[in-house]
Amino acid sequence: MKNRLPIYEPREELWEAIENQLPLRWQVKLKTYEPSENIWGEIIKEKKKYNWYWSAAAIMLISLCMSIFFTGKKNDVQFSEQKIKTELQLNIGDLDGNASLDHVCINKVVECNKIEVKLLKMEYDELNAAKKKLKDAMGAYNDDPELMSQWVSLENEKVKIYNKIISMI
Amino acid sequence: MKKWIILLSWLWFHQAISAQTTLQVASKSLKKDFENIKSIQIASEKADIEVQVWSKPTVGLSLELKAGHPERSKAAEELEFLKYEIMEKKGTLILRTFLSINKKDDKPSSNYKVKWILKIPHLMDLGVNNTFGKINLEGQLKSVKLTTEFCKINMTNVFGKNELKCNYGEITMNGNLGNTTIATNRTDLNLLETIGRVSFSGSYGTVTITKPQISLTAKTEKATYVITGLKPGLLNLHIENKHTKILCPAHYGQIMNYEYTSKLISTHIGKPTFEIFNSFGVIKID
Repeated sequence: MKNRLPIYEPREELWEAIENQLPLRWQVKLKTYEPSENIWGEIIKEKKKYNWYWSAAAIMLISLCMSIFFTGKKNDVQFSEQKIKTELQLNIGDLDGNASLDHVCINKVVECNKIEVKLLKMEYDELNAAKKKLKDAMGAYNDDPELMSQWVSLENEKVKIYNKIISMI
Repeated sequence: MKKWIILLSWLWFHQAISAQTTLQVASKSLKKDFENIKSIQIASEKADIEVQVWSKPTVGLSLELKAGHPERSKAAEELEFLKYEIMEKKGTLILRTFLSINKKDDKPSSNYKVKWILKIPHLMDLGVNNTFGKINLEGQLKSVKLTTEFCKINMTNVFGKNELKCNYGEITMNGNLGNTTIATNRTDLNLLETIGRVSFSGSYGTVTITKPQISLTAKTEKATYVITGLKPGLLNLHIENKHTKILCPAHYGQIMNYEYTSKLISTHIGKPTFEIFNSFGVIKID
């Protein structure tokens, strides 16, 4: 029965009349306005400003992380103070004692060419080389009494050999 | 007024002197344990090395690196040149320190120091290459090989097979030494109440031997021997000194003096042999 009834569409004006009677807030058709050009400009400016804020925040975050990392590294290094005795420092002057030996040998060539003298000269050179190594190890701020004691011992040996050579030539 | 001037001058002078002798020391340290290690190799310079045998099966390592300079910033900066390497390779722990300086950098002026402390299980192999540092070893190791210059070595009750080389320095050995070979030049050797077997070759230096119970073979040149606490009858003695005489009390036996050589020989069957062959030196037995 229902299927046999005719179907009617209401007229267009009827819908318009109903719509006009509706309260203002329910009405679909509202007046539209195009924003002015400078408003779009303002919006883009604002957007750019926020982008800059985000970049600054990212840079700050990265800097913070890096400073924590490097501060952590520096914290690995501990500092302390140490008093070093002045008597453990070298007063270098006689490292090149060979010079005076060579000077003596200029006038005493025959004596200096004796095997005994040459052997002693070799020992003297060996001790000089050892002293040079020791001097490098002691550096400018030696604090090790052991190195100083070795230095003194080498120096004494050197003096003994020097005196022996001088007495032989 | 004059007194004040003197006092202030003295204070200023004292301050100046103190400033010269104060070092700012920058240091770094590291501690680590290792398992399944059978041998250790150390290569360092100016390193103090301490090795002790403990009852644990692991190796406990502690390393300290130091740079001392009057300026704190310089000490910290130059400490960065001092590098270390710790590697584990097929059961061998390889430890190394070295200075790494770029060509553009000036030679560092800081006073550097390295300290290794190792606690190791017994019966391990140890090899050390070091100059200008102290080495202290204690306990039963399987083998020890030390190659050093300007050394200060202390070994106490170090059993096993030991091989020591040192130019310029001092070696002190105490207690049981196992089987030890020593080669030195201008190095003092102290064998204190030692037992075991020692083979020694060297030139120059003073050799101090107290209360020996060792089997010793020493071939030296220009060395000075000071032997105390030698018990007659405990060892087979064969002591020879070329070109100089042997100084010795009569109860050790008769010294035979030849043209160029002095000899002291006393034989006791089944006792360890104590042999010294020296030339151009001194042998003194008290």
